[in-house]
Amino acid sequence: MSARREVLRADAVSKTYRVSAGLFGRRRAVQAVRNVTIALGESEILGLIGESGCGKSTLSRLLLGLEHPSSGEVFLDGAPISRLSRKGIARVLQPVFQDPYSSLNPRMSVGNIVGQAFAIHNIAAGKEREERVAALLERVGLRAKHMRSYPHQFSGGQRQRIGIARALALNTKLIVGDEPVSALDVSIQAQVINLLMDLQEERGLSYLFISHDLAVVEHISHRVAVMYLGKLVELADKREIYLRPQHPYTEALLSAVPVPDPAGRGKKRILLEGDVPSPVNPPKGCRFHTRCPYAVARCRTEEPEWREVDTGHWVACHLR
Amino acid sequence: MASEAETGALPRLDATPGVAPARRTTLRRWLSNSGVSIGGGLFLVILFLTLIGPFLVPHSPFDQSLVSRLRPPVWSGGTAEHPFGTDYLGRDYLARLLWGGRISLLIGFCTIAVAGIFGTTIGVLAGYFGGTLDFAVRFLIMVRLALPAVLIALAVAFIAGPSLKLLIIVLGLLLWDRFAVVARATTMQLRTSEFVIAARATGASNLTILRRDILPNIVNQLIVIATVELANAVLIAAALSFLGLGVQPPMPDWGLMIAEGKQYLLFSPYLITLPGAAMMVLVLSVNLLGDGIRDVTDPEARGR
Amino acid sequence: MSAESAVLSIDGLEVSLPHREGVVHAVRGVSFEIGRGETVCVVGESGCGKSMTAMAVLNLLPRGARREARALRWRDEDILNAGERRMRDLRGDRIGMIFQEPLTALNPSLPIGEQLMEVYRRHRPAQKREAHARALDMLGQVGIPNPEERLSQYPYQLSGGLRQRVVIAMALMCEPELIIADEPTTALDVTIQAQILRLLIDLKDRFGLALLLITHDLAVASRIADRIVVMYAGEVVEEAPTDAFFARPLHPYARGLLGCLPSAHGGQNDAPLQVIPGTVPSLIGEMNGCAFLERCAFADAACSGTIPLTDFGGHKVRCIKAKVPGVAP
Repeated sequence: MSARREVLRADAVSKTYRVSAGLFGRRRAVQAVRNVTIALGESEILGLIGESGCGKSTLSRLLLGLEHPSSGEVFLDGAPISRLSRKGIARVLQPVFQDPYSSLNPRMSVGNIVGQAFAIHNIAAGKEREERVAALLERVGLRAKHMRSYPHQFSGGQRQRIGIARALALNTKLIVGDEPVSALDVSIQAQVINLLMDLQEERGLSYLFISHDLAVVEHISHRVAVMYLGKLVELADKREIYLRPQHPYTEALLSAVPVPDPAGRGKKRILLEGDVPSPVNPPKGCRFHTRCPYAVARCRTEEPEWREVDTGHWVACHLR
Repeated sequence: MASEAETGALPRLDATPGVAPARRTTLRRWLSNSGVSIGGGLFLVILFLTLIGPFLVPHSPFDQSLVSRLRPPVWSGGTAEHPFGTDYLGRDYLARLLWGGRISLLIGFCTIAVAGIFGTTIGVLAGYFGGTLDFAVRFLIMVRLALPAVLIALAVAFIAGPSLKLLIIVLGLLLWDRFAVVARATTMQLRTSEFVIAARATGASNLTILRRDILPNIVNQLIVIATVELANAVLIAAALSFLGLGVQPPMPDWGLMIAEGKQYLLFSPYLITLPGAAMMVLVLSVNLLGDGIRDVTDPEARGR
Repeated sequence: MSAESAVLSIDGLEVSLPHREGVVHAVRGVSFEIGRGETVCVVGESGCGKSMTAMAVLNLLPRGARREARALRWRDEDILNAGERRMRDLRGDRIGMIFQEPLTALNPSLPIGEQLMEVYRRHRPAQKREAHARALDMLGQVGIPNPEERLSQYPYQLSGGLRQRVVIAMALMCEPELIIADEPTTALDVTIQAQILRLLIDLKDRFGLALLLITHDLAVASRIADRIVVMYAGEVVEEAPTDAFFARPLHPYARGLLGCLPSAHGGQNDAPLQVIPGTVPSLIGEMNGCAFLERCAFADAACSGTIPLTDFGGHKVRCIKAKVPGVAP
């Protein structure tokens, strides 16, 4: 991705959690994220897909600076995030959450939720602050008078809009959305996706869009990354990934997604055997080999390298 | 209002989170709960009587009159001059009852103020910061739970001599545990809520988060605890006074009045039944109120 | 289809729930049938009444709910007025139920084997050994490896996908004729979802099951359904065989729903998603006319009257503006 300036970068980050099994259980290490290098360019939408246990939520917390990586470093606009203050990060990078019901403080008015950032950063006060909050609310499709209402008076889709307005308050250019539309009904989802895309075009925002919904990710992203059990397995332009997936897991994922077209019924699908392994005990060698239809001996012992197999198309697989 | 098209609180059986409940008049909701209206009402009545009452009753609770000792209350053949009768020193019982109520409530409120502030503070700090602080607070709670509250209060009163201030402090330092436990547990839950993470991501300082995001959302549960502990404090104080280690004569106090009246149980049972009934009504009203508050605020806290 | 071959027949079902501000009409006059071995998917977004409909069939509504219908039949039997005892006999035996959350559908403190056997022994006079064998068999049928081991395990020891398979096994223990599944794959990962759908398709073919599948996901419905029933605001707004529905959806809401899905697999979509403006109307109090009126691009004055269900040769739609060229209603 040469053309764009990097605004957010994770450099070989790993995150390990210690989990103990009860009072006398052994302390075990869960490696939620392992050696991930990924970069988000300016005005780019990078989609990150993966199933449960793949580490995408942990990665998003690392990228937001909410947690420190066990190794490796996250860079925000070139500066290591660990050296930046909470406020400094906040001015550049903001999250949007999945659950519209728990992402807003039920005891704060909408105006305060959206405008809290102004108070914390001493940007605007009184009338000016009110005006800015009103403008933000209108931009996301609500009304200025909603400032005085409380979250429980709004529907899921509206709350999500409030969350987006909050994220935009400080004029941040970088937004990390962890499943921002997954909890919404399809018709509301469409509205919010359109809003996000409009805002991105209008303001030149960069998004890291994390989701398990491949259709949504395909629609909204410029580039897409796929994670499995804490590692990146593929990264490419959106069209490339959906038309010519290189990693067997990506292939299987794409094949598994149901399409609203009954003609797809007879289609031969790649069905993976078994369950998603738990990150507590990842398989040796290539982490995907236990479910991979193409696995060979090498896959069981050696971890594949992250290589660029085509311009801008990266894969971690021995067979490509 | 938030919607031309809010779908009212639909049953939650459908898959994805439904639409938010429509607006409702808060006051009516509160009053329609029987715990709040009955318990709260009774409590307000008691409050009113104990605060204003003493001024309305012609007699003072301290005026002794050896001539009018042990007069029965008006329903046992007494006169309207002393509607609740008199005690063994001729003091008007109604006046003593109302004054005693004042003392009891004073003790109760001050105790939960001390206990509440202390317990909530350490509970919230432990829940929010975790680590060694949490460990220390948990240890403290365990120690406190292992101690018998009433015995310690007795011991202290015995050693240091009875005094109202000491009583409140000691009770306050013994009844904070439930505040701490509830504050800690709720804070721990809230700490991982997305809106708290959002506040952190906005750059809010820990103090701001504690003040705006954590505290307002635990207040409801703390109020419920406060009502229970108020009743508790009143009862323990009464017990201590009964044993002679709480409020001292000539100050009226319901526990003390029971103690003073116990020798006359056979002939003047009202000396005991009246303060006993008063305590029961107070504790009952406070508990009903607490239950009611919890019922009203709990579903709201869930948000759906 | 004639009433004789219908396994489940719902006619004019209405469900209302008490609410602070009045009565919520969650289900308003829903009618459809499920034939033997047929898969019907009820599709709709949250609040449309699809789950309520399923609960109403089994009479598992929350307290205070009121259920009415012109008729509600299980094969030839009237279950609208059947007592709770008869319903309990039917539930789990003739009609199996699968819920969305496998974690809460299973009792966390009992081993799986016991839960499976319990269902069987409730409805059949069977010895433990027979129930055990049957449980083992069912676990195998739903594709669980090492079933003997699994029987003594607790739900927490299984992954989400496996748990859902166990729930399916439980629903099948007594060889039901109908399975009602409420969003059975929503809580699962995509690859696991594909497995479970495959399993459901296999099982229904193998056992000749009728399946009532409730979902918000049209894509899932397209994979498994013989017929699609679309619900909106408590009503059935469209009903058609799957192929006919996707080839030509008639109701503006259904079309809007299909239109706002981001299409997958190399679509050329950079255009904004089609959007259905507005939100679902309130279901409190009386409702007249078309429920979709305020959001419909084709609505006019005539739409505020009662809208009947028009049948275009098997493709039913509740819209006076819908037309199928060459077919008379």
